[in-house]
Amino acid sequence: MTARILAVDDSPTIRGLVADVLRKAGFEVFLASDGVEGVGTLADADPDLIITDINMPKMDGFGLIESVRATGSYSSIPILVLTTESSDALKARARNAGATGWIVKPFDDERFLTVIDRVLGR
Amino acid sequence: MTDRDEFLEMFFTECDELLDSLATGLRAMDVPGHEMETVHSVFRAVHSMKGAAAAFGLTDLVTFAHRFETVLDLLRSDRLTADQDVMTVLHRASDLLTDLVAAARQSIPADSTRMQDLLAELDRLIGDDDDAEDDSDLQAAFVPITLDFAPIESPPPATGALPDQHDAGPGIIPHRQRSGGIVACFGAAWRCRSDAGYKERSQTFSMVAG
Repeated sequence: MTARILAVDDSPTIRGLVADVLRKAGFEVFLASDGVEGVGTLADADPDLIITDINMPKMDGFGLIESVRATGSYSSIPILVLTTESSDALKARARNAGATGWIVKPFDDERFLTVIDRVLGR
Repeated sequence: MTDRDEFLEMFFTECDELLDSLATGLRAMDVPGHEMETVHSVFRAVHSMKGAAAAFGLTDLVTFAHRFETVLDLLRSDRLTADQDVMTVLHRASDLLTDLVAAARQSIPADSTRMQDLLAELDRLIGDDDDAEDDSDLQAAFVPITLDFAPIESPPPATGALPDQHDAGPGIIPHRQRSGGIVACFGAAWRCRSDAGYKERSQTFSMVAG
């Protein structure tokens, strides 16, 4: 079964890099440029995993996580934060919002995929 | 052209748009009573450049953008006022950021003297704000990493209780050892779809600097 991943980031470069790594690894990838678009993409993407940035316009990563957790269908899917931020306060905020994990950019492709496989239970 | 070259070109195109947005935002911030959303927008422009630059190992850009966004973070959290002195430094920082992008695009060295001067100016604005980020985590992001998967420290939550279990588990596990961690996972429970339906996951792991 091909896992479906929704990646949300306002940087087209980061979206491109993440999508490239994930698609080459065989994942089906859906992209959104902010939290609002991410939430709006949920039904079509029907993701197994969400990877989200924190600092985004319209709705940031915290808002996205809270919105996803508030939906019945996706209240318990894994959500990984992918960001350059690394403060403990922000990590705690993400955890309280319902994030599964936190990855600091830049990421090593192989290890990034290892984390994703582990989160997806593969 | 390799994939990396294509993405690097995409990054520089994105930078052009972000630098435009930055310059426009700073002009708006020159006007007293500007909206806070303008400051957020300027912050995001610099922050986005930093994040993508890090992916390509453009360390001058990352270092400078990080210090720049630290000042902008003070402004957006009302810990610093956008007076004329501050705005002058921000405009100069914006100009230098433009030049750093150009230098990276041409693969030529940046003007390190000018960069150090402006970093000192930004540091002056940051002052001794205890909550301002330092660069230690940023530098750690460039440290080679090794994986260290650790077993969960407490029993997984009961079946069927998952939707309310995001705060379950041992909390944020120690994710930073020695010079900085790359990944923290929170020990929360989640569900994964599989061919056999859903299976529950609650393993905690960390990835630490090696």
